[in-house]
Amino acid sequence: MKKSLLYILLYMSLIGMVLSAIFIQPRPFNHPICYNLMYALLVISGVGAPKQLLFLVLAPWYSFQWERRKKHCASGSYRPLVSVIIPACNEEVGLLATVKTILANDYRPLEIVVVNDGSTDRSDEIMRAFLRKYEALMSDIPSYKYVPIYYYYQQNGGKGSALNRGIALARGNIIMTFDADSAVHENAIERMVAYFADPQVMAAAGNIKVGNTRTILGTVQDLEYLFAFYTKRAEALLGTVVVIGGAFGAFRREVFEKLGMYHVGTLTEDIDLTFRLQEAGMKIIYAPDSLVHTEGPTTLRALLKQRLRWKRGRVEAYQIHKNFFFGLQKNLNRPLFWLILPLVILEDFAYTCGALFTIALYIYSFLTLNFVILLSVLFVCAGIYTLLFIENASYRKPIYFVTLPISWFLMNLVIFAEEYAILMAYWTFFCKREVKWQKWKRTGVADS
Amino acid sequence: MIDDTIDTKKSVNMMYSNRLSEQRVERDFALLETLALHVVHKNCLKSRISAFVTNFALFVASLLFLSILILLFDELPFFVFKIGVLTILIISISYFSSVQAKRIYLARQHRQLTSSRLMQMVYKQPPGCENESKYDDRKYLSLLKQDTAAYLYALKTKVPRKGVQ
Repeated sequence: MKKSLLYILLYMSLIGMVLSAIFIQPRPFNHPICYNLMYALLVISGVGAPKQLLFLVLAPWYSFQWERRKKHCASGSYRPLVSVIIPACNEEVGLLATVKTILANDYRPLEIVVVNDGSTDRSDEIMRAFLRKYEALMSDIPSYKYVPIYYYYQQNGGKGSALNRGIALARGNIIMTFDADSAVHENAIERMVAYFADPQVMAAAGNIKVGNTRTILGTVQDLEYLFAFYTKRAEALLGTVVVIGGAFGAFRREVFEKLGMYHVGTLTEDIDLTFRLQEAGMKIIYAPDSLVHTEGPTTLRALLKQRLRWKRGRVEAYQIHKNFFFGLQKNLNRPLFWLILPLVILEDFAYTCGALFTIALYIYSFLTLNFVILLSVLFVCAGIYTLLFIENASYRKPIYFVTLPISWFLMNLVIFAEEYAILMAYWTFFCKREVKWQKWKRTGVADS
Repeated sequence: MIDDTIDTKKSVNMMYSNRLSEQRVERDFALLETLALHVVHKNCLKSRISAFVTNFALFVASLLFLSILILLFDELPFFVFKIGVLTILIISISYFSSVQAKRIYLARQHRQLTSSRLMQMVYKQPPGCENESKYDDRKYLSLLKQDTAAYLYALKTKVPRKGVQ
């Protein structure tokens, strides 16, 4: 379905609901069992609401805190060698674009390590051809401007294995990892390094946005990422960052020297590493001004598979690190393992009820013609996104503000995808069924 | 005749080590170019007025937004809607107050580092002969260095321990 057509339909529904709420007397709802059931669903699904509200209240204060911290660090003079690692497996569409956007960054000294994890597509050929051209072109530029690119082809061993190979080849003090389907903002590396001027910062999560936003699915994921990374500020403010996303993360070399490399064989090696960092009491921050655009799944099937992998990976990480929940280990990040992670697990179950409540709410609203609750939910969602759009300069465009009143309807798609992923993740985990890495057809992040 | 020009381009870049100061040097053309003092003062005044107007406009806009929310909260007959409005109101208050706090903080920091203080010091100095000009420049720049918040902080606090705690 075309995006504009869907928007028109949703707007017409919205107008209909508003008119009904004003002019039509709601029908009475005389089903006490259904009513109580709906009420129970609302209460259970609201478990995560206080946490989300707290995060939304705290999130804007994160940048203020960093403004205050910045003056205590000599970030301008801090320019260590940065190694960028790009693991790639069958990424012929996006790999070269990713390398080029990194080269377009002004930060020096910089080196790029590309690890091809046994690709069977043309990515190896494309990369080698590019390197030949690049070396010829760069032969006469000053050494301080030159960015060496190391390329390594290995047998397929998974993302963790490719990252480990990259770290072994890298020489930098700061190691940044990017996905091979990303478009890196021209100042992203420079801004990220500035945070590491604070010697206590051991790792940082970058700000990831969805690049392919032309489709409905892309727009929905874009809105979802915007919300998720906004609340990440509150996580960072409280020192409880749950995950440093694989699409853009930065680490001091010491992290790998102290904690060891990425664990191979896990579905979400990024969550696993983040948990290990938090167990060791290392400081993780979030860099909201370090931007990278990544490619989101282009089909619903691919989105469901991606979410399933994420959720299953998280459940596996809970299992691996279960001894740290409510633990008393030295250096352990207690707020995370005592409060936030148990709440996240609780939220997973609340999410199930949330999805059921959403369905029940639609049925209730259309049966009774009482749209007040639904409109209230729409209003809260639109209000939150208004603030998010004001906060982010790149979203202050009419095209985004058009989505505001119908943002809740659009978010329903993600709600149900997440719901499916949570249920399937726990189901496959308890049935000990394997979940494999998935690939979807890449189109690149050209429109970012 | 009083020589009211200062060439600070080379030295200032060396002096400011932290990023904030670097950004300011990039922005503040008064520090990069040789300008007459009255032009510098005029530019400072202009930037101060524009900052004040922007701050004030933002403050009014956020107050207006919050007032609308409060009005909605008061006028709407539905309890559920009131909860929704209250949620947005809480988030908005936090957001707008953080924006204002950040702007005030940055404005204060800018004022601390602003060149106008350097200029005032220059005015206070007696017109020196040519032999003393290098010495004077160094003196003024050391004064400027003392003014930076980063330098003051470095004097006051210990350098944090590096590496894994």
